[in-house]
Amino acid sequence: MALLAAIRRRSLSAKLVVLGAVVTAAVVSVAFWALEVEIRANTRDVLTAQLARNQHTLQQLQTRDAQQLLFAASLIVGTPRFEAALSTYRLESYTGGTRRVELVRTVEDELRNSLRSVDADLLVATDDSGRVFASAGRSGSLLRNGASLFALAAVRHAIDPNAPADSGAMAVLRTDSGFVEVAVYPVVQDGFTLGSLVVGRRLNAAFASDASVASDAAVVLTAGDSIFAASDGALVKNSVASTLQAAAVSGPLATTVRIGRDEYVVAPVNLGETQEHAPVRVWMLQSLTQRVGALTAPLRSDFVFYGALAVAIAAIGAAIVARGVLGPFRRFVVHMRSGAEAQHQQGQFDARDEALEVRTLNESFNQLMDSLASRRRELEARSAELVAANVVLTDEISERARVEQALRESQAQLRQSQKLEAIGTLAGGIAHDFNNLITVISGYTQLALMRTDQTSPEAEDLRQVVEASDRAANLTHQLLAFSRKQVLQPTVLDLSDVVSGIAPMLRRIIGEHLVLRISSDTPLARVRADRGQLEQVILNLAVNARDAMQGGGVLTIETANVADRADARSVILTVRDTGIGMTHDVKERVFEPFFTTKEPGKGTGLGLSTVYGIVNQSGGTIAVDSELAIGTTFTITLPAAESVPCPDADGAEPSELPRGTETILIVEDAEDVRILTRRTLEERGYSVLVARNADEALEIATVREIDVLLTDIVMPRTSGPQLVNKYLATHPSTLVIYMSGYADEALSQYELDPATVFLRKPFTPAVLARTVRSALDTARGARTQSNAGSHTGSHTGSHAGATAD
Amino acid sequence: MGSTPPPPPPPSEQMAAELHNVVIYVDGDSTKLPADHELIDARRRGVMSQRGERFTPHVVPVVVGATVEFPNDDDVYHNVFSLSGAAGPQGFDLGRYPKGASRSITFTRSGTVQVFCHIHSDMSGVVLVLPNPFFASPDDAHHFAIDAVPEGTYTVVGWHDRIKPVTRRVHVTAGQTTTVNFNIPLPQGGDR
Repeated sequence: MALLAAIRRRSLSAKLVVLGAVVTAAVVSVAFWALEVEIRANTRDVLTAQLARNQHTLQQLQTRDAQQLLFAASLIVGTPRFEAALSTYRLESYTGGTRRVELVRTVEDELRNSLRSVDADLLVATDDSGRVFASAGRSGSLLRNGASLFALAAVRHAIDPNAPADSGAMAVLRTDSGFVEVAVYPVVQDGFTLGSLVVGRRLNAAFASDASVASDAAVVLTAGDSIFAASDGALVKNSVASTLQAAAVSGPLATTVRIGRDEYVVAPVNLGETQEHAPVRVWMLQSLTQRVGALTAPLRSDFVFYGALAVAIAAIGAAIVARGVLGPFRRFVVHMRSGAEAQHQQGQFDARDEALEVRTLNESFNQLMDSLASRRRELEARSAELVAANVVLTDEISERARVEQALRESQAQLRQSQKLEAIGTLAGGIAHDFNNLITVISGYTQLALMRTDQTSPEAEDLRQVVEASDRAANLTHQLLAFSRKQVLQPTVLDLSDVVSGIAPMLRRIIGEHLVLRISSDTPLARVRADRGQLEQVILNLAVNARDAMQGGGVLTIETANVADRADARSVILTVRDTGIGMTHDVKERVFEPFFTTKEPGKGTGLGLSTVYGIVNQSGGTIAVDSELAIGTTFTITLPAAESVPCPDADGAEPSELPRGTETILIVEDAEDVRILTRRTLEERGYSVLVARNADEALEIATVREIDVLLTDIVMPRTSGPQLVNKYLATHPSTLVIYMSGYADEALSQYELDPATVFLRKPFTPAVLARTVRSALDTARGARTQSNAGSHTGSHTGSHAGATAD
Repeated sequence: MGSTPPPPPPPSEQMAAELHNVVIYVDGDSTKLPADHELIDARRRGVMSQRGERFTPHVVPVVVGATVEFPNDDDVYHNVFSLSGAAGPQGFDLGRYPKGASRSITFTRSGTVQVFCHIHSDMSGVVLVLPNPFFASPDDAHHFAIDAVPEGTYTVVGWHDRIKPVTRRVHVTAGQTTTVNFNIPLPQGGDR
């Protein structure tokens, strides 16, 4: 593979040279191979024919040999002593005579004498039963006297002319020292057979080499499946024997066999059968491989020489052709490449004197370049269009991203409002049932309290129950607000009026370390909402903002017109602080009831829930945006009211409430009550001071003239009556109004002046306003009349003070 | 001992010729078969001529001690030799001799003596040396007659040189002719 890769990287001309060489070499090789195949086939035919002739010759030689042997036998048989001896033996045997040694020796002498004059290796005389009578051989006696040769068909035939003759002229006799080809001649006297004379010639290596010389082939002698002699000792092998045995089956014709790595053409000549009926054959073997090799070896060297010459010529020719053909191409390519490197189109290649192919190529190239140039112009125009389209597309994509972002946000809001809706439904249901239960608890507790001695400890316990019931009622009220189950009294109003109306109170609530900024669009579209509820919303948000800005900051309240898509106008109210901000998790749950981040006891977790409920019930939405350490912004959107505002529709009540300009000091430890009371009175025109406890009140009293002291009765450390006692000691003309959530009877322990004005919590702003006005008017009258006091009873109002969260 | 030959079948010419080579004799030596000297002397002489390259007659029966003459009646040299044990372990060889010459030899032991001619291998003859004179060759009527055989029980042998001897036991009563029939299978192929 590496070689192939190396060739692939070579130049075209190198490849051409290699190709020429390889093709030529392949052609020469194939030609040689074809020639060798042809030679082999021809040689085989020649050898086969030659061996067939040799077969014939050898058979003729055998026949002649047999005739010679038989002639020799006839001569021997005709000697009188030989015949006489056999005849004598026969006659003596009739009368029980044995093979007398004299007779045997006589015959042996005769045979030995004969051996000298005939070309035979073995002479055997048999009696008329085929038994060996005597024998003589060139290398001694080869057969035991008395041994029967009756098994030899030739012997049988000689003894008994009626017995079938051997197919061949001769037979083969196996002796103790080897195989002998024999001819058998009958010994006859007076027409009667006396026995036979066996004349033999040894089948040994000498015979094989003689036959080899005669046939110009290797010769192997086999008996049955074994080799007993060969002209070439190397052929005496079992493998050769078995191969020849197999070849013998196919008949007497010459065949081709494979012996070892060589191919041979072999042909047999039958010599006859032994006394054991083993066929004996002379095999002539011609090595096809050697003969072909002898023919092809010189041919091969010729082919190698002329093949190499042809390869070289082909390679040189290919090189010349490559140079002639590829040279112009190379010049052309070099020209074009230099043009390409110079990055500009040079003058066209001069191909007039080049070959036709190069001219055609040059023409095509020029056409290609023209085509490329026009195509490039098209491309530039197309890409300009694409750039423009891309700009449009980018805009569309960013617009889509914006829309998707907005969609995601609104989906998040939707999920949030759905969650709050579910919670509100749950909380509203609970609150409703709780309200009922609390009414029962409170009612029966008050009944029990009435029947109880007010000074007894049980009465105190019951009062605690009543108080707890009131607080529970308050909580359920807020839950109802959140779940939008409370009754609203909407009026068309200006939101900036609401803000500016509550602003003084907000300033006091948030304290001096915070800056309050209020701004508004003018004119501002009007909205339809419950004024008191809106005030509570702003109050709650402001208190939260203050708590978020312990270290100081700015509280911004803005009202503005917003035109939304539907062309319907909305008004937004923004409450923004620069406080600690909220985490995402807190922001997610900020409107949930009872969710608070304040310390236990500091908040109920209902402030923002209430806000949420009120805004929703008013048909608006509320959103919160917060970032840690930066601040939080609540944005309330309310639909603009389409109808013309009628400020007097529901505003009658506040305007009907009595007003005043006196200075009132409120002493109240419950902050919510304190704020609500202060707001109500400030709205009515009063100048209001507040104190969280008796000490603060006394301090204020030293610097300010006070017309009315409005104080809670039950307070930590110094109670309301104790404060009043101290205060009246220095300011006896000051009007005192007590407020308390406790029942009248519960206050008896404080030994209040029966003329004391008492305001029962919870009270409505209206009740407060009327009670204060009435008390002031009464006191003025009393001072005028030096008498009189009124006891303004009050009842539980349905509106309670707000709890800012 | 008188013999009345049975009516023989008409023999063929070849058969007739071959029958002349048959000898019938009584087995037994002279102690058992006393014979008068006249008979013995008569049978102690035999002649086997060499004529037409043949030993004639082919078979010559004699009594032990007989001398047989081998005259050469042919124009060519002949030889007489034998390898038979009855003529001594080495047989004998009378050498070659021309026409008119004759040689003889005395056979001192009974037995079958085959004689051959050294020059003419086809020539052969048999001198049948018997222990007693009681033997017979066929007469013209192809009968074999043996006279004056003493009373007793004998083995009678039918002899031919191509076959094994055929024997018969026979009781000979004094004054009577005892007839013995032989069936001798003559071998085929003979051509002499």
